[in-house]
Amino acid sequence: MGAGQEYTWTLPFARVTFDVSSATDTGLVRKVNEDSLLAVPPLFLVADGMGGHAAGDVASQETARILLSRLPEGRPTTSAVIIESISQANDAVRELTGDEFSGTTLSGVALVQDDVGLSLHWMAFNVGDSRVYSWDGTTLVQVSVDHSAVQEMVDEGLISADEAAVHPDRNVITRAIGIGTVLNPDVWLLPAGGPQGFVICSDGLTKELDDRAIEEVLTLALTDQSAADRLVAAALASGGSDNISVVVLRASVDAVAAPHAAVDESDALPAHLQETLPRI
Amino acid sequence: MPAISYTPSPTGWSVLVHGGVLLAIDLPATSERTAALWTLVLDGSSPGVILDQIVSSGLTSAPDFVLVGATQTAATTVLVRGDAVVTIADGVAGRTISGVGVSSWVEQVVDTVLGFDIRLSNAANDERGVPLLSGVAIASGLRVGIATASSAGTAPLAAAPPAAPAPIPAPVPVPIVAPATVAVPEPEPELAPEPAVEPEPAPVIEPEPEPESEPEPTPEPDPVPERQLAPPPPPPPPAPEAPVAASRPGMISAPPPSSTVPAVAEASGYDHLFGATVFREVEDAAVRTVADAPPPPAPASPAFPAPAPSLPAPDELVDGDPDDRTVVMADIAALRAQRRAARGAATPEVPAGPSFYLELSTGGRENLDQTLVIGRAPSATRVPGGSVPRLVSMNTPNQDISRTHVQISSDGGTVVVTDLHSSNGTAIVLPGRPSQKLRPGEPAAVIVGTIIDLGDGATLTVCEAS
Repeated sequence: MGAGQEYTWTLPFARVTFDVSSATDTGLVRKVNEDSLLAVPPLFLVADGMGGHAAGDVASQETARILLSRLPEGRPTTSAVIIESISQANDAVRELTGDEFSGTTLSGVALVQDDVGLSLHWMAFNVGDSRVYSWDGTTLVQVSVDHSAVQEMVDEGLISADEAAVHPDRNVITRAIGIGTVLNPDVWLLPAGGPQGFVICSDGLTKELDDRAIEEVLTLALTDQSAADRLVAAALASGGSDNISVVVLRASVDAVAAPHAAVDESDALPAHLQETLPRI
Repeated sequence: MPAISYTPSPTGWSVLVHGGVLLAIDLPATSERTAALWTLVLDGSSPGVILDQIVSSGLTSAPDFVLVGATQTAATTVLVRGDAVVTIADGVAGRTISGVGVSSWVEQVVDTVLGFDIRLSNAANDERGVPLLSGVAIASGLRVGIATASSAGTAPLAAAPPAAPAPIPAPVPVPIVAPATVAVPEPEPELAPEPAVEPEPAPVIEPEPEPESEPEPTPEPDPVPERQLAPPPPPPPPAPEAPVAASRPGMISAPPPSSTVPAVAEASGYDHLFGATVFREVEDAAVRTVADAPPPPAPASPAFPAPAPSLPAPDELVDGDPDDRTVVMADIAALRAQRRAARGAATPEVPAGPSFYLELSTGGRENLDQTLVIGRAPSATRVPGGSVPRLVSMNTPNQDISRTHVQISSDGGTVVVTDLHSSNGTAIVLPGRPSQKLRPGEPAAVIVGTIIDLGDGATLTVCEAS
């Protein structure tokens, strides 16, 4: 499975496996990497700091640190905890950076359970223009919606998605951690079951590679590099104009059946997925 | 029966456990009726016999109870009378059984159950609980086969020790997962989070380029294959000054290509090509048309054109942060609060509205304390973090309701139902009125007593908590 880290959890009624790779690179133009990333089950995120004067690093690091500090060990978290810690990170970044204007994006995925602990969902969350994609082994689908000026214009029907990619305001974001007193991240909840994959990345990846190019890199495993390393290398090869951070997660949530009906390992994936899943 | 833990409460119900039978009943533990029931439980009586005893003095005077036991076909039968809520773990989605609104009791037979969370009062169950193998306890709730009971505090769920499964006296006649599977710790080393994870110390003020919370090495200037092993580059020199922000309040941008910031790499002159990410309030971006957008003075400034002219003048609301929409919102809220205060303290607080709940045809109830999204396997798409709905799964015989079927919320004393573009639609039946199909996506206010019909026998009844 490439250079990914693997984790297996046995929950009372589900078995969860995480196969995750992550990589970050300063890029070829910038001198400082202001991105931070986190790949600690059940939380996977990318934060893209901004603001110059190294304040961007502080913002993204502090945000990742706070979300990590609230994580339970070896079991799912809850959406309430994630929301609270995002709000906490917002306050902390505001305090840390004081009058200096800095902030960070935050995009990620967490495995969450309800308050009784009996149903599992993938929670995607987003502030800013880093992204969460779902990846089923063949098709990449953008889950998050950018908080960016060009996305607003696309939503208004003023420009097309293609025009957005080259629009002069494409680096203007409209929401960030550390900017206002109240922060409302966008949240998605997807039922967790069977094999599911996610790609989380900063805009350093998506500025260099469009969705089809990312799909191609994910699918063609010609080297032993992890999926995240391959994506970063591809973004560098296309210019590497910004910091690039990528987390590629392949996970599987399988209901644990009663012992007499133990699921055979080889049946865990549907056949069509077994054939086409990339080596990530 | 697998590991049972209970949440002790002096005002709770009596919980009788022995062999494969669990009975929670709203009777004093010292009463004669409890003693009689305990005798039956000890004798290994079937659920039917125990039920006979419970209702022996007539249905109306029968206490509320939860009875879990084995059927002759090796499935598990669950009987609930009254307000208790039993949540069944039957895979990744939970479903609930409750006797609310039923004059007798609710009986369900489940065959792939892995565990139960049984709430005898409104209080949530203590995850640790007190283990119970056999005997009588006074409890406000129970967890069965859900192996979180542990004194290990933060120990991972999977590592929780079994609540002493071995000496259970009777063989487990129900197909509940044997304790060995449910609770055996799996001391896999991978469970430990990755190194380099350092939650506590030191607010990071210095421009250390390697985020401390990052589980692997971070930024490398060159993409050589072995860069994961290479040490990180030295921290960049600290930036000497902060005039950028001061000169552009409210805007997050890369430093301008000013000669006064030679140390900052982003200002190296490439920004006109790539552009540093900048922050701008949402309205500013949204109202601009392409035609209106001034061409970027690209070579001159890496940031976007000065936004001042296109902004309204919210300055009277804002302290030094005019670009920040959320600050504006907060200040508006503050102004409103001031105005309310100015109107005088005579204005009474709005009394808390009534609280509603839904009765599910599949058993159980869901409080409308937050927005509910109900369906076969519901999901939520782009909801604000401040109002994440609770997702409720309903299993129907033919799997005919949509994955994400209907949304129900309670707002200011009104219950609002919205069909979420489900395949087969949602109908509502107001008391004494004919059934009426909802238009997809259009919210409809309903009153107490309304039945919300999702099709395939799945209905929700709107009730008001007394």
